[in-house]
Amino acid sequence: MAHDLAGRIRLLRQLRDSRLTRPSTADEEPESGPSPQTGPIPVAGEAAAPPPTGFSALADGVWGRVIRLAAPQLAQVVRRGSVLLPAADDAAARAASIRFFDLETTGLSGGAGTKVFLAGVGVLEEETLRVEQLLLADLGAEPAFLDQLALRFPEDALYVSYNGRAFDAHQLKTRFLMNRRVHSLQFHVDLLYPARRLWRSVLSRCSLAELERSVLSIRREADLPSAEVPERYFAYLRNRDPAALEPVFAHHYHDIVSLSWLFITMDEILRRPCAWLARSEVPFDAVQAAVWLLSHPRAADRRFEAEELLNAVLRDEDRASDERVEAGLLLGTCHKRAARPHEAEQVYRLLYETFRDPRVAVELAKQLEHHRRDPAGALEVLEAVDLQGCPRGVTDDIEYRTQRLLRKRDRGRALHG
Amino acid sequence: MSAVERVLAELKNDPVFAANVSQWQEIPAREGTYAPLPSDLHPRLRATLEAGGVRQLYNHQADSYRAVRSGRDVVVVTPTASGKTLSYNLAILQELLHRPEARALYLFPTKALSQDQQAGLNLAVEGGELGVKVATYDGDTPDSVRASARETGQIIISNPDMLHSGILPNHPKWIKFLGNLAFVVIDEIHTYRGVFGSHMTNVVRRLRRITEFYGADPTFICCSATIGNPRELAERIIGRNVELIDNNGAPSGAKHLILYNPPFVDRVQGIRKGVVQEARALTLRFLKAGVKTIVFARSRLRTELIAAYIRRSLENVYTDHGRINVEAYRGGYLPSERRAIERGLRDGTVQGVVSTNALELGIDIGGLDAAVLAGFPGSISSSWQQAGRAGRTRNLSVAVLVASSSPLDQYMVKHPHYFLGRAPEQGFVDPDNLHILISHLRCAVFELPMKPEERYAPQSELYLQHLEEEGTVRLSAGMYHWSDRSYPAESVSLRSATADNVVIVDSTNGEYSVIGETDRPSAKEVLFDNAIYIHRGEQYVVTELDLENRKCLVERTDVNYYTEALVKRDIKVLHEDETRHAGGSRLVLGDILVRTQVAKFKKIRFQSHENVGYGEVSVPEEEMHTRALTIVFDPDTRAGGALRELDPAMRVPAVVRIGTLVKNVAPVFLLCEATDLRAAERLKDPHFGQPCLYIYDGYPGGIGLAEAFAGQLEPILAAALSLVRDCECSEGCPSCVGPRDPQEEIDGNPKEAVSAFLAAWLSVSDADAEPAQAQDG
Repeated sequence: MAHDLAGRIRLLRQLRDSRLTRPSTADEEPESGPSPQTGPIPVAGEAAAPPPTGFSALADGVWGRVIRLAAPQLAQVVRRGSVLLPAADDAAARAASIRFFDLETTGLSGGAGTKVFLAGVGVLEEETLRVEQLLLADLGAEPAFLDQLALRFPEDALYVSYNGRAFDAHQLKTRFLMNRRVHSLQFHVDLLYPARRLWRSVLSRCSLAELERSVLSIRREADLPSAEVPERYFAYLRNRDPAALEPVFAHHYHDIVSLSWLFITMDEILRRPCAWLARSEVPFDAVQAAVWLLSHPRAADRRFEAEELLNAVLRDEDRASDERVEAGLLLGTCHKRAARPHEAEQVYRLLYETFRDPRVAVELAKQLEHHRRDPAGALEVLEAVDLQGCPRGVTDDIEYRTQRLLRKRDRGRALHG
Repeated sequence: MSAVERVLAELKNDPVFAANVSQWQEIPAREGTYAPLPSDLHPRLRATLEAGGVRQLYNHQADSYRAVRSGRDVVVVTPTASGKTLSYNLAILQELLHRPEARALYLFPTKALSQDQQAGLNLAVEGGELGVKVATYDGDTPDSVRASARETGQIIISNPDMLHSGILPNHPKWIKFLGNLAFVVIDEIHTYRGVFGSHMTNVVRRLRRITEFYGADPTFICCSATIGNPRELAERIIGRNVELIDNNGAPSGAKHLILYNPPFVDRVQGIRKGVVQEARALTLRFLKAGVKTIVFARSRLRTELIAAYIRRSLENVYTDHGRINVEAYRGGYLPSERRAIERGLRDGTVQGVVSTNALELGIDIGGLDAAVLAGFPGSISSSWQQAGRAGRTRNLSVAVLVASSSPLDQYMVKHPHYFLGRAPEQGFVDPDNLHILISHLRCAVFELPMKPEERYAPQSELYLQHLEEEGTVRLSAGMYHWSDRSYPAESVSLRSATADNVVIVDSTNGEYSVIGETDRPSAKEVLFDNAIYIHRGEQYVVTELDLENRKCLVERTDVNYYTEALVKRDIKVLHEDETRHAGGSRLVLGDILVRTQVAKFKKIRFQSHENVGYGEVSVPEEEMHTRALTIVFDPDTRAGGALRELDPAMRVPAVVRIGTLVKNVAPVFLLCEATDLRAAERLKDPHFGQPCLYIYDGYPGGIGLAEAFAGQLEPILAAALSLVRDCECSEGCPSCVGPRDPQEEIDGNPKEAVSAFLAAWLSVSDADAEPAQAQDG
């Protein structure tokens, strides 16, 4: 663009100069704007443009379409309540209003000049998922578009998105602000965060597309890459050919449907993690799943599943030693918190005897010294550790504890001797 | 007797030094003029001031308090160390104490300055427990504190670049701040001139659009150093009338100002001792006498050279280098390096610093006693700023201008009345430069859709139509909307012609660490393969300039020379806009295309500065479309006639020399750098068919320098003539028309020819040569 700026400037200057030397008009039209228009200004090109397939006008410059799809499984999950949803008094009522949403924007860098041009929301109606897509037919129709969005995105409904917390919800809020309106989604569950727990260590990426392939086993035919979405929309604005947008609509629709399936699958996994671990058709990070369950607002309700899961990993000899050690350490902590020192010691003992891991040795030594009152046993455990390749912090800890136990033993000998 | 007094007495009694002094001016100490603390001052604010020892105000502080309290926009003209910050803090803190929801934005031209400012404010705020929340928001602010700065900061300290690329494009995040914005402080407004000022004017236009959108109308408080037209400049930048407050009431200590012209080495060729060596010697004298000294050098290269020479002179392992620590300081250093040097100057661990004009602004570096200006800094207002860095306390201080042999320097030392008597230069901006305006218009539409009739700038509708053709904006429902996926502020740099910078990477021993950056066009001239790049006194050789990836690899080296590019230029006239007959010549204003090519470089030996070899350079040529004033020497004009009076063999050399002269003298009349303006001569110009001299703007699209030059042509030529006449050399020297070039093979005396040519052109007789008086502001 920089290259032909010179030519442009030539043109601009000539234009400017010819205006400046036109004496009468300069006086008559000091603002040099277009002649004032009366009445509402129509959205440019909207009248001439045919609606995209399946869409109909919702307002001047706003197109919409609805696709319904049978969703008995989803209905079941929502009816019985999902582990993924926040625990609140009115949770059941809110769960009934659950909305899966996704937005397409004119740019990915955000900021005041990036507009939402396609908004989609999936609402459960009895046993079907009703997916509605709203298209901004031209940039100037944004106020009408937002009117329609406000109706379909009530502020107090419960929203589910994938990466919507950092991006989409923010964009939506910005668009309303830019039009002097305040609108924000108050209850929002972003599946990205639990998904990262479950799959970050298992998959190369945690994008929705990757989860679709690896977790949901869905293959999309000729899907449009997200990066091409804005260009498609600008092409549509220029040419008014809705065909350019068809791949965008399809991509966007599939994103919302996949989101609902991902919701079902994640709910299943987190509800009965042990069963899913045993079936092993969808690999996931069991230790991180337990971490998520234990940090759940209703952790007390989930503790049993978490401990069961950790126990299964700990005792599964086919699993990697690192994973078993992590599971055991976390399980030990659970036992200690629940005031079950003997169970904790058992876990550590098992781990210690299988792996001789220094971190486990420290935990076992603590249990022996403080609960079993057996400093000699603790010392024995610590002295048997192989410190090679052990992280610095752990080595220091072992060294410190060993010295302390040695002093304790020497004092004891002195008293008795 | 203080150290400064001792060293001044010693210099006065040193006949060798005194012989080269062209002016020794004692500026007497000044008594302050005071006003009582305002009676309506909030009790807590009063208590804070009194606890800090402030029981009365300087006149200008009281006046700006009153003006700002009554909602007027002001520009306060403040010399160094005149209590500038209080002149705006007072009214703002007063408002914030009464109305805690109000907000203030402080803009400083550099990041370094804003950090210093926050330190000062925090002190006042915490000390007095005023409970006013101050936050810095710039490129170094960690993400984790940004949100709380936006939400709770009552005073946000930032810079124009951050406002431009971070705040305005994301204004919905700033709704609380911008909707309550009551004050905008623009400090050091004199730095916003030329390109930077033209950008700044547009950033302020955009800020005002957004605040208006949120229903706020902030008062603007500008501070300026002494320049010829502070009020006019401030009014251009903020787009409203301002009240000028220039009754400085601050006292100041006595200052000795010395204009020093280094002695001749070769009087016939007009060669004087070099400014680098003379500055080094003088600085050593100061430092050894225990006088804390700042040296200002004109270029980054010279900064490094002078610092290295001084260090070498002090080198002694037994005395720990005389326990004198000297640092170099310039742009291109990493922020942490600069902060460390500033700290060293404040806490006294650094006794001497050699800096580019980067330290000219109000960064707090504590009290220095002496300033050595190694070469005239290019403008009188800069000279005073630099001289003012010595003597921030009420003590005696000294500033020495060491003249280089450049014509401008020689003009200044030989015409001290210019330096001392004249109102400093005027700052001007051209916010409607096409490149600048279009860039900011894109940003403005991104930030908020624009109605065609909105008066963003004169004729802005035309530019919007251009953007619509380009496809980046779209007219829909009577408004222009941003219709591109990009984030336009990202590709606009306020500081330079181009946004793309080349990063300089030290790859010595396979380590890769970034040591600095520079803009792409300069990279071609300083970072070509095999160039010597100097950073913090270390030499590096360029191993690979990778322009495509904006990266330059360098390795540490140790050689006895530095390098300088030889640049070739080619000019094509694109369009003639306007022809005038003035000053005895035909003047044509128009657009030109300049192609620049670096083909070779010179190796120059340190200390002796002799040429020790050449090298080849292969970098792609640079193209620039800009504005030019062409002086056409038609035979029927006085100038043309004067040229034809000359011996034909002398004509080219004479025109070349006049080009050199005017380019060097012009900065006295136009607040610009000598490098902002370029000159090129053609004996038979292919476009005009006559001998021509092109004077053109060094910035793409032009920032009005060519036009301004046209308006000042006669005083500039008159100053050029008096410079040639007053020069003591015989046949031309670097201080006037340039030394004789053996390759020109001309008989006769080129200096006399230039003198005669100019005199005939201006039709002044040899007898009544008067030094030119420029227009005062």
